[in-house]
Amino acid sequence: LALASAAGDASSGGNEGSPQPARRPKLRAISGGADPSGSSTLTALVVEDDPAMRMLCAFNLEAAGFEVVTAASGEEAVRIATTGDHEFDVVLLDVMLPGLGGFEIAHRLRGVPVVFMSARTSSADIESGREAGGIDYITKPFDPVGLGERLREDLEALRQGGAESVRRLRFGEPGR
Amino acid sequence: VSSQARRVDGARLARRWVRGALLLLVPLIVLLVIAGAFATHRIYTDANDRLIKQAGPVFAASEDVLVEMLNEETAVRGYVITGDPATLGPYRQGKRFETLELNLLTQHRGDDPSLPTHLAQVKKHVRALQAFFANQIALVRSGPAGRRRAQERVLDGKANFDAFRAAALALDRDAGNVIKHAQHRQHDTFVKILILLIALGAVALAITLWLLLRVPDRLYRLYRGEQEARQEAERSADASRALAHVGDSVVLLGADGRVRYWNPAAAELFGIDGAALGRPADEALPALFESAGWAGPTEVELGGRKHWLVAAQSEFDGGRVIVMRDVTEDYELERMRSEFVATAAHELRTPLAAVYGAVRTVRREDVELSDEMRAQLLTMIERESERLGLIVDQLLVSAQLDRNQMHLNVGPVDAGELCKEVVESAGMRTPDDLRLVYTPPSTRVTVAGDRDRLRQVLANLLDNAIKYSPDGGRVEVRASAVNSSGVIEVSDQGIGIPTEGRERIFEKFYRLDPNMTRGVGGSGLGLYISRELVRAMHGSLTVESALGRGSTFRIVLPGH
Repeated sequence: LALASAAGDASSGGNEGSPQPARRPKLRAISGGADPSGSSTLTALVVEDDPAMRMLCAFNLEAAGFEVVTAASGEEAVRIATTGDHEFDVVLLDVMLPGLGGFEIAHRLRGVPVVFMSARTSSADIESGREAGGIDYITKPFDPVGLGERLREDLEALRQGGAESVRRLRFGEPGR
Repeated sequence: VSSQARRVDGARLARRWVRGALLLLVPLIVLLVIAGAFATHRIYTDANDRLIKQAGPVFAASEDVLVEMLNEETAVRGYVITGDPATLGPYRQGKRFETLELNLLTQHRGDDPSLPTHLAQVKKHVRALQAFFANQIALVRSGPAGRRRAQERVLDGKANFDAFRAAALALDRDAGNVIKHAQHRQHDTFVKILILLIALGAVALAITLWLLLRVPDRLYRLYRGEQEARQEAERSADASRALAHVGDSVVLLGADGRVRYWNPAAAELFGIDGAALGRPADEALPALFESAGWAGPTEVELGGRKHWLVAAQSEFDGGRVIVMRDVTEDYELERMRSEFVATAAHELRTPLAAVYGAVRTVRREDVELSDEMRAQLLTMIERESERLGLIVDQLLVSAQLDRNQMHLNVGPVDAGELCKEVVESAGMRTPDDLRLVYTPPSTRVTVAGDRDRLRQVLANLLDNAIKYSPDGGRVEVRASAVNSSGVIEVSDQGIGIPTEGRERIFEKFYRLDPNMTRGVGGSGLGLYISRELVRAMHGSLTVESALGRGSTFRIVLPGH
């Protein structure tokens, strides 16, 4: 929970005096444990320019036991990932972002598993996500409640069978 | 259709004229035959009259000779019996006449072969009788002994006279025969001429009827055929003219695969010149030649430009016609349209994702939501639903503009007031690093326009200014009056617009960044709708921009 709070600070670091912390309240899981659905605490970087989606993803991932850091732009995400103190297990990356686009960020964040999310759902878009090295591609609209579970399964599949085995699961399908 | 009908009428008219002329020939021929028959008949009767006139004297002369000789014989016999010289009167008269008659008969011998023989016999008997008569008269004059002797010879004289009468009767028969023969011949000639006339007339009639049956229809068909040939020629000329004005490229290849014809559109598209005529198509027009294998619109580079072409081929006995349509523009439009559908779907999905996500989150039972959080999620649902509605509206407005179904309520609009309203409303969703500034005009600026639509345009321009200022900065909205017009400007310090995109951003579906890798979503309709709306208000919407330093959009509307 302390980390979650730190994540909030990190994401709003670039916007001095902004009301961001108030918009993104600290989250508490009522089920008591910090790790309700998995054996370990995972850290996720959520990159999304739309404040509503950013908040929904962060809230639900934290509720699923993730430590979440958010970024509102590609540049911010790259800065956090390269200069921050965090080791990210996964990056949840919106494809369409102002400034640096999602695919470009994925390229710069080599080494961290990237899960794309986008409202662009054509097969060409999904193929682009595959080429950009994403391990999963979640099409909008999706259910953010099941997001944590999906990321956890993705990472488990990645650990066991590599990137290709994850991609075979449900690349390009909306979240349930 | 009418000209064709006229031509058919022409053919019918020709047929009618020929038929009429030939029909007129029929009574003419009949009349000619009748006239000929009549003339022949007249000639025949005239000749008969002449014959009777000519043969009559011969007939009369031969009878006269007999009568005269009878008179002479009676007179001489009376003289022999009576010895009275007075009884010799008829003899002397008869002798005179008889010579005349005989001369007449000699002149009119006709052509009866027995006539001269009989005439000679008559003459011989006449001479014999005359000699006898002279001898009797001399005997009577010599005295009574001579007279007795003459009386004794009366029977001899009777025998002589009977011989003469037989000869004279034969001659008489001959004369009758001459007339009869001549009449027969004339009648024969008349009948022959009549038959000939009728035969010739019948032949002429037959020929005329034959012509009547054959010629008008044949002429009609000939005439029609000739007209059809001319029409066909005209149609060919029309076809060529039509091809010259067809936008599609049309090329004709011969059965040997050589280029035989192309229309001007093909000449332009493929850059064909006269040298291509008669050359094999695969050499002269490779793109055209390959088109047989195309499955649909195919991209071809011609003269340094890329074209999307659709090809259609038809084979026939004499070769192949290839028609090519340049669908580059259609294709581009279609590409933009499908891009638009994808974009519109994306634009609709983004707020939908937020609404759905917020609802799912609110309904979570495993997590306790603070009141503040719950309120935020509900606000989110409300705002994103409004955004959904706005996008749907934009799509509908665009469709209305396409169909010219946009109705405007044009009236006086206070431009300054409107700018202030729009800026205040946008202020709520402005990022923190962006400063939104409204500069009021020095005097009241009133323009003629549709207030609601103008607000829509301004809101869109302001949205764009905010969206394309990812690094914040200052966005300024100001209204002013220039001459009799009102000017509203929205300027930002954002990413700016490259030179080549400055007009195209107003095109429907056009997006500066079609793949949206820069991430700013939009329907590609906002500026299109804005410009069309301002134009409908008789105003203009223009842009000035410096790449990386920002853009200024300017609305100029007529003053009110």
